[in-house]
Amino acid sequence: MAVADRIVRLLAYVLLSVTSLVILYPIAIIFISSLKPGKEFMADPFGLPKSWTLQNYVSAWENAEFSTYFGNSFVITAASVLFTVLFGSMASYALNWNFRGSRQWFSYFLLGIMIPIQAKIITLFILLKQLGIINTHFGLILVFVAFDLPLSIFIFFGFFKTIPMELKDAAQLDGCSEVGTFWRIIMPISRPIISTVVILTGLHVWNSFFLPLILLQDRKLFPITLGLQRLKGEFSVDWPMFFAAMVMLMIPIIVLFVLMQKQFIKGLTSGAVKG
Amino acid sequence: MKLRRAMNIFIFLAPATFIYTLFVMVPSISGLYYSFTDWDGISPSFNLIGAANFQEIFQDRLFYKSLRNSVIFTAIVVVFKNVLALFFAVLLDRKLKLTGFFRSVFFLPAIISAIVVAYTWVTIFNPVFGFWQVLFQAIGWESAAKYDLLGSTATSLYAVAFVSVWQTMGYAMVIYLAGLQTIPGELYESAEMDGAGRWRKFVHVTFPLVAPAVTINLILSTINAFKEFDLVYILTGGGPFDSSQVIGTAIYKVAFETNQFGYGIAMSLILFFIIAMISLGQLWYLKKREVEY
Repeated sequence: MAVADRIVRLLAYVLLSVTSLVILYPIAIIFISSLKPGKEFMADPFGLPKSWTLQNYVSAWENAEFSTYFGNSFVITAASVLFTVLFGSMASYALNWNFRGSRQWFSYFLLGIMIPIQAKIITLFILLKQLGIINTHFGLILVFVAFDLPLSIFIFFGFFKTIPMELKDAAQLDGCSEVGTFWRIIMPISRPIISTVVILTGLHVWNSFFLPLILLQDRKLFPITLGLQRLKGEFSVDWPMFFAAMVMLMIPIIVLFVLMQKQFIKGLTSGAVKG
Repeated sequence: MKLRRAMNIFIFLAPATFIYTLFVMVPSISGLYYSFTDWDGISPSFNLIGAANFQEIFQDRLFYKSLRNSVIFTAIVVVFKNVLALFFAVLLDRKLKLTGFFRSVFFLPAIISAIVVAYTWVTIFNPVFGFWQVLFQAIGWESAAKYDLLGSTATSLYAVAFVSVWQTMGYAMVIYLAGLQTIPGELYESAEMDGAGRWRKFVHVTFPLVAPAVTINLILSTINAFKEFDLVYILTGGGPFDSSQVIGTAIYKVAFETNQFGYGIAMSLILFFIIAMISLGQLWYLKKREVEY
């Protein structure tokens, strides 16, 4: 029995290690190759670099406009997250007051989770054109907020339901208005759930490709994802520089993931797992 | 007092309701109207053409091809992803050394942009210098080394499916792990006392009790696979010769590359209908099988 147990355990380790390798190796290749001089990469694509260099990062940042793309990704993500959290939490707070029609109002928001992006993207493109906000960060951010509101309202709603009424009543007895109660009492105790929504929305917006592809045409407005695709499409690719640009897109996310793994996993699965 | 209440409701709900209605509901509903027109998205005038778009779709080779590809792609991804995810979840549910490390590694691809994932595999499958080629050259299998996985009609769709499983398996695994952790340990102990081995414990205790996680995973992965765009668009662009064209990329092609907006919208409504049907049907079937304890 003990021997069989050991064999099973050993087998488990072997399987887990091999799978980890299959997952980590491709990512590692990108990192390593981004630190190689261009000539060396063409001669020996998968060996360790003989001379390490940051030149690929410098040329991506300066010559291929990735400083602009990086800034754009940052602005779009920060603004989308801020307004999704603000408007989503406000709406869910009010939906918890149980007034007439509040349940239907909540269902109306949830409807949005079911509609696939392809089913609205073409008419959305037309709408933004008519409103004159196509090819602007402003229009793109509004669309991200609209798309991410349903899930964030769902998550906030579940959390606010668990806050005891006495807390609210006490604040209001002290003369706080609804806005004051929300801002000074509810928001501070909602930090964990806010971080969940920030991670969920932030990751979605930072990594997104399809919406910017449809809604932006001007190079100067591109986020990194779109910049990568254009870089690949237009020139005969300088591969190591291309890898450096790929690392720029994933490094902030990976660093944050390593620092706050628990919140990441909780945030990303909160739409799927109860509690 | 009543007025104040109404004021508060308005203040708190107006921003979200306004943005959501304008950018989610309005496009969804106006799509219903545009799908009955021949608009190209540019010219100021267009005609109502009844159900002609829908009639055309059902005679369109591109539509059937992409529908067929989407079904194959979805089937492969859903089966492989969930079998692997459940298997690794069961392995990692026990206290092994390095459990935390393995969990994080498996989850890692889920947080990386699909664009980066796709370009990483474009690099690996590259027939000129890719790791694929280096690997098979090293073991002396020349014909496999020269094979262009993403550029051949026979393999492009399966290569994309593989990448999709690679990226999303860890996410499904974490959901299974959350489900496994709710199973009380006593159930395993009593099964052991009844003389159940590893496999029988899995079939009679683990699997029935992890059913809610199976439900949510099957629904999520079916819907996501059916909507796939980013991976296909970057890895193969739907080609070669539409061999990996799925519905998501076909809609893009029709609407934004050939400017048949009305036709594209009609196609996207069919996608919406299919997804709604799948998720309702799956939910109903799987709910019946869940076990209460």
